[in-house]
Amino acid sequence: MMYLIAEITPLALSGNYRLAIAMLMGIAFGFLLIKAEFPIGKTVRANLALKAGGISKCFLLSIAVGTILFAVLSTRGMVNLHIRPSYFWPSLLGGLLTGLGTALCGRVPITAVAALAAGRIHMIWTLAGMALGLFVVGTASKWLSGTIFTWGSKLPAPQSSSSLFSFAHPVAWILIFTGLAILLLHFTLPGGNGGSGDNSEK
Amino acid sequence: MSIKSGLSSSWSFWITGTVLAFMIIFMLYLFDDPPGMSDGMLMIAEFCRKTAEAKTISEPPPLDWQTGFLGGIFIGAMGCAFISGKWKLHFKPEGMSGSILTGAGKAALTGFGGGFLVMLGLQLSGDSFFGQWASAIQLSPGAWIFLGVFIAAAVITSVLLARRSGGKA
Repeated sequence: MMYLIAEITPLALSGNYRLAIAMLMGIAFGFLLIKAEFPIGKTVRANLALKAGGISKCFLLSIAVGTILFAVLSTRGMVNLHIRPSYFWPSLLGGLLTGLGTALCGRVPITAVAALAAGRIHMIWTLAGMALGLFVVGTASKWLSGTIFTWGSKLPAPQSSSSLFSFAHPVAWILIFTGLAILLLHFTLPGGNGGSGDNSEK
Repeated sequence: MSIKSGLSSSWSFWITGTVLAFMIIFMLYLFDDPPGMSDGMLMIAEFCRKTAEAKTISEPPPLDWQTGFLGGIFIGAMGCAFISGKWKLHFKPEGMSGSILTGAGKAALTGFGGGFLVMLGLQLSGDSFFGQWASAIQLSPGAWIFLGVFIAAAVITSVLLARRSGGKA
């Protein structure tokens, strides 16, 4: 069994298969986003204002499970590291602006698309604002390349480590942090327990 | 629990969170490419710019796996919203006070301003939100800085806005 797993390498689909599978994955992802209530504005606002915890718990759990899965599978070569280069100040400033924007409109691009699909016509304004943001950054890209994108040093790529189950490995700390945060949210805030009575938008 | 009630009721966070994590890792395995829609969004923006300049649609919209994924999200979300009974026609955000016109006006302002800030921030950080999510799973320091600041800024602003509006979420 372990021999078989060790033989598996990333599939790296190409051509029409890649497009078709991406659409299928998108359909499944859109389905899950609605099930987790990510695009439901009232639920998002309640989570951000610390009045509910369903979305926050789902997000934290996905990071915890994903982190350990990636750590295990990448050491066996089943998945490769694929991250974009990042810089300290652009990451920090980007997080700040995105956080402020999300507090105002309650969505990020994927959830805005999913919310529009769920009948929230007012998402057209949010998507129009996002389109303007794309246009502004595209227009000012030369200026940004000489200023903000040069602030701070390039952040290092994650280091692979063989000792997964030790406190020296960041995965252990991520699991502790996310586990404690999920427990805290679970016992202090409502939401995220599923069932027909958990529709926060009712 | 029958399949019908399973599909139509809300799912617990541990089911959705776990399945989302598996999906992100499965995408890394299938595509062997950075997950996210940053490139797809840029391609669509470039297509719109060229179309607007030419005032005619001379070529079909770009279709790569990222734009296909985005289209899939639309279809999947619409299907799930219908099945779950969450498909509702809204011209203003749920719970926003005021008449339909006032509410729609507020929605336009907050939606447009918020959407602009969100995209500006994401472009500065160099990836889409989904890309940052997937990068955090891969232990990218930039993604963790982004997510930490994002959560702090979003929560603080939302709590202040909720207090200002009299505690209505």
